[in-house]
Amino acid sequence: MRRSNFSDCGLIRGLFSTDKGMTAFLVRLLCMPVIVAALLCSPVLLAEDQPDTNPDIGLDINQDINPDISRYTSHRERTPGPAIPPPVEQKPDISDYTLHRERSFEPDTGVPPTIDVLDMEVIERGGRYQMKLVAVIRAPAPYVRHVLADFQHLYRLNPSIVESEVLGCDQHGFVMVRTQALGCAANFCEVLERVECVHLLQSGDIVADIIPELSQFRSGKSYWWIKPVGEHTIVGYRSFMEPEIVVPPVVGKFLVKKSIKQQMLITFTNLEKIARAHAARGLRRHSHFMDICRSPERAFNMHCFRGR
Amino acid sequence: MKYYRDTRRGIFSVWVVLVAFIVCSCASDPVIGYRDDIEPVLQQKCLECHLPPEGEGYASTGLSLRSYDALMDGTMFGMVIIPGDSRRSVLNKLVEHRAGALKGMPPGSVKALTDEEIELFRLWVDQGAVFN
Repeated sequence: MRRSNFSDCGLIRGLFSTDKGMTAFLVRLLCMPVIVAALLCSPVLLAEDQPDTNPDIGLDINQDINPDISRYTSHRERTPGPAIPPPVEQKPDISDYTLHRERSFEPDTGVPPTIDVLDMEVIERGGRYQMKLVAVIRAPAPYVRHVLADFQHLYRLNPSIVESEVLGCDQHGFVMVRTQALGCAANFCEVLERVECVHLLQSGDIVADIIPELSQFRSGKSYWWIKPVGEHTIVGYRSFMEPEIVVPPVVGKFLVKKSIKQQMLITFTNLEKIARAHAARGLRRHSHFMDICRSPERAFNMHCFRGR
Repeated sequence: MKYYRDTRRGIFSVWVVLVAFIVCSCASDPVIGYRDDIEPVLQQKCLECHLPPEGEGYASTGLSLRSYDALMDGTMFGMVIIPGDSRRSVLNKLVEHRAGALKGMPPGSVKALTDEEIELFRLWVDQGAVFN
């Protein structure tokens, strides 16, 4: 029996044993690389047979081995380390983002609703929407009327009026106005175009008739009445409209009605803000009708006279 | 088997269209900077009238274009920019002449904005109108 160099390793010694014949020897020979690899990767196995090389450090097992760390601790406490400045809180420069974020929190109107709503109602019946809003506007009536009749600045009244244009006018106080309004219900938006004949009545109230042939409405009529109350004004808006849009039942109509209410409030809020701004600066003109009609080439479309 | 093949083809087509849409939407619009793209146009074509205290545009509306903050403060009638929404922003309505021919900004044809400049304003507002 041949003795290998791994004489202290019984496992390896057995591997080289030929006691059980040639087949067993071949099997062991094939397994040998695996075993060698395992031995190399496992120093623990090898260490079993290694002599104890740890030097005698004179450790008395009866001695309390819990080290007394008080001296180290006190030493560390006594000797202050190098002066480390306290961490300075680095405030990132977020002014750019803050500015944007604060502004983006504002609603579309840019101003919170401050108007006193006396009455508001939106009804839908067979695709025809009837709406009513009465509110107190904290601005004198002439300025309120001025803003409502300022057709060249309709875009100021509501951000959803994405396009507006005065198409024509006549000497009788009719003005033809085209507007495109972005109507949204939830995330679904649609631009609705309408052309209206607006008439300033003797009473100072304003009536607007939709021209169906030029609009995406089958019919529609709006009426604004303005009643001065001291330094304030009660403004009433009553309207019906029949838009040429398909609205899904129940939820769709609910969302449309909610959107209409929201847009009416935005319009009234902006009406107050603009009227107050005009009042503060003393801009006082009763009507813009004649200003718009200053150009004779802008022939008034006869649509507004039909049926009157 | 044919049904399975058609379904697979349909799903593949939808997937291709979706990927194309995402790639196109991501790659189309460059980032517009206020300092580099918007401010020079404002200074060149708008500031003369909207410079407080004597600018005509400032006197009539209160809109100062001297700084980003002033622009975002808007006019005495309200904000002129709704970040992220160029369709509703007054500034875009006016420079795009969507508020009638008489109310287009800048008034007159001497300093009229080019189509590229109008597009810059639109993209900048749609991208959030940030101070970048």
